[in-house]
Amino acid sequence: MRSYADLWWRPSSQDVLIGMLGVGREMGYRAVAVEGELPTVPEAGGIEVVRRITLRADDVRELHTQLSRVRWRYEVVSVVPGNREVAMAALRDNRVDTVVMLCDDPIPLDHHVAEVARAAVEVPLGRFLEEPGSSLSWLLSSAKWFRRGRVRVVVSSGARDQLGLRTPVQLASLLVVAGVEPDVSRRAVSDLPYSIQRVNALRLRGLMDHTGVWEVLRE
Amino acid sequence: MRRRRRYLLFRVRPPDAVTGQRAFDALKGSVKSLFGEFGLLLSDLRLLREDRGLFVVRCSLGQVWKVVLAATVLDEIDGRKVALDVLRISGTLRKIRGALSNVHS
Repeated sequence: MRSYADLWWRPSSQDVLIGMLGVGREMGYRAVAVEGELPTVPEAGGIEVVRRITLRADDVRELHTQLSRVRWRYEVVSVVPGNREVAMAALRDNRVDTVVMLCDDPIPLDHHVAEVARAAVEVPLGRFLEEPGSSLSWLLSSAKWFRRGRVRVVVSSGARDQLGLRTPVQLASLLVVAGVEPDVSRRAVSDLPYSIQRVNALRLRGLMDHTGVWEVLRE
Repeated sequence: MRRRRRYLLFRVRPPDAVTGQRAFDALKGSVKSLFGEFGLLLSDLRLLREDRGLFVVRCSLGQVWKVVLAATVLDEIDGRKVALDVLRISGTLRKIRGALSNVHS
């Protein structure tokens, strides 16, 4: 059975987050990454809740400064790059989990980007609801790099409230309609985001080292 | 040759925001705006049943992902903020009826 995860929720308050967790549980999500305040209980009603930070940077030096400041403090570190140079640096950096290329000025994917990409490219649904035309255009031109998993892709909701949430199959439909294989699209809302959250949470708790090796505790 | 179809169970959130018929019309409008009149005709959308914020739609097999995407990007009907959730996609109406009764219970 797949474990679905949504990598980007941005609730405005604790009450909104509690409402979103109720809807998310019904939709079948097992883990979510929340930007902003977290409830005191990290696991809320069967959903694992982790912290996420979204960095915005206009030059590479600024990106590196911000990354060194937040390292080991958040389970999910995401970057919204101000230009292509920052996007390339973020995609290469092993401290970054996802890069949101679909920002105010969408950065197109090409073979240079595909060559260096280590972090996943994140596609937030919220952007489609705000700017459907330019978002669809970016997605259609970028989809070929997501096919057969050439560049890792994650689809998140970017929801600010309950009405911004969608079921996993709906998030996956963004990629399928753009021509990405259904299996890759389903992985973009399940295996990949779930493993990013889980592995980083284990590392922060000291149960796994940075290379991915489990720490075995001797009694 | 018999055309293959899929049945989709939708939920309107919040449930009392609009009727199932109105949500279905908005869904058709969303399909048309994304994929054009031809896309709407190809999808062969039919409203089969509506009940307390839930409705069942039939569409052609080849267009099912497009219908799901059209529901995904729909966030406003008659000036009210809403969300259409796809609760179940099935090849038979019997399974959809089962899912419908589960949701009601």
